[in-house]
Amino acid sequence: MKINKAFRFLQEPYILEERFWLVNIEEGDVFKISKKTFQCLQSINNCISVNNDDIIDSLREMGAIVDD
Amino acid sequence: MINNQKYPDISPEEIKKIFRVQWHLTERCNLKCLHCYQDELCIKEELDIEEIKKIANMLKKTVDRWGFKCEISLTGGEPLVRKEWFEIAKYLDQLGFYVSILSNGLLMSREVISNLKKINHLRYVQISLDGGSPEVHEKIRGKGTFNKTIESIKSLKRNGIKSATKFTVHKLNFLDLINYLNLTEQIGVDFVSVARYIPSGRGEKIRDFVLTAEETKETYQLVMKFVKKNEGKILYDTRRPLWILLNDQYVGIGGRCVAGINGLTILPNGDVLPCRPMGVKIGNLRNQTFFEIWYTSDLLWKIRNFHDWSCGKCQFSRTCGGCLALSKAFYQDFFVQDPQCFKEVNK
Repeated sequence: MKINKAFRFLQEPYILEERFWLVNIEEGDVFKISKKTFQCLQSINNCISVNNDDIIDSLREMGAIVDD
Repeated sequence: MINNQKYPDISPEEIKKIFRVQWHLTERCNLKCLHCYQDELCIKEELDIEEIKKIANMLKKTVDRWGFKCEISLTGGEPLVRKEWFEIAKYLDQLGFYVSILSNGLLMSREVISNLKKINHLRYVQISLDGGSPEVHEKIRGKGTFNKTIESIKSLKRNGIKSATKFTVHKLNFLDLINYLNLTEQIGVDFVSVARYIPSGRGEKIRDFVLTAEETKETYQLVMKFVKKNEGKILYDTRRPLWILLNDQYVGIGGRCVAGINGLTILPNGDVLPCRPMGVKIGNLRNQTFFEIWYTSDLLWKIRNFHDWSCGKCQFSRTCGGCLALSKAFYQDFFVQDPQCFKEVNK
């Protein structure tokens, strides 16, 4: 699987509090995500296997990850 | 509450939901004003009409997604030198955008006026007027420009088009401000604005003419007298950084700059900047979406998380925030105190 190219994920900069976002840059959908989900997206982006089915399922549902 | 802003027919709640875009259609201009942000290396490439329509459609999708309205200010260079300006304005109009034109007024022909009247969502036409007398205005904008500029403003009035004027204040015209305010009052300009000069581009050459904090305060105090005198007749642009420092009881003053908060600037080649004088490209709409630029630009995040900067610690941070471009022009850093901040002068 890989990250859908219409999505960007980021940690909000210039703020003390840790906030993470997932954005569909074509449709404008913005999701506030957990640190765990953010780390999971980082792993997928770096082709590292992820063993968290719940997070994978929800990311699939959002359309943020697709099959290779 | 006094409703001193340029949308007297729209509620304050609705105003907060207007996304503002300053769209530079061209860098070409029929003038070479002393304080202009353009330089010799200006962008020669221009988006063609199809690219402009594509970007406009994308912008429409963006603001619809946010539940916002959008005002697009068409500017340049001189926007009226671009022969397709009306086709572009009309297209934006048909998309339901508010449209305003920022011009020097020298090309305001009958045909232009007639076309302006066909733009249903036209908010106003802003004409740059840098003096209340020909001597001062023409020292900055060039010989023979004053009378034509005044005639254009009057022509807008005669034709029922909302007129606005902008006076970019610096030491060359500071003492003429009273004449400008009197003149705009006499003509009956609908919306009067006094903008601060930011040294960039060609304007770098007159950097020494930036007003001091004391002079800036005097400028705003003078405008404030006219705001009160002409309440209900003329609108003055007082919802800007630093105004709140006047400590006036008047309610309709003060406001943060919209750049990066609910506004952006597009250059003729599709480059996107938070605002023109900030001079930092954050993306290009030929190959990126608005959403991508808006949500992933590091600079925009920094602007939004404003409590992180010097002005963010100020009690007036939510209604001021200073001018980032001016801070950069002086200190090479957007996020330090506005050099014209007169909070200390007040003490």
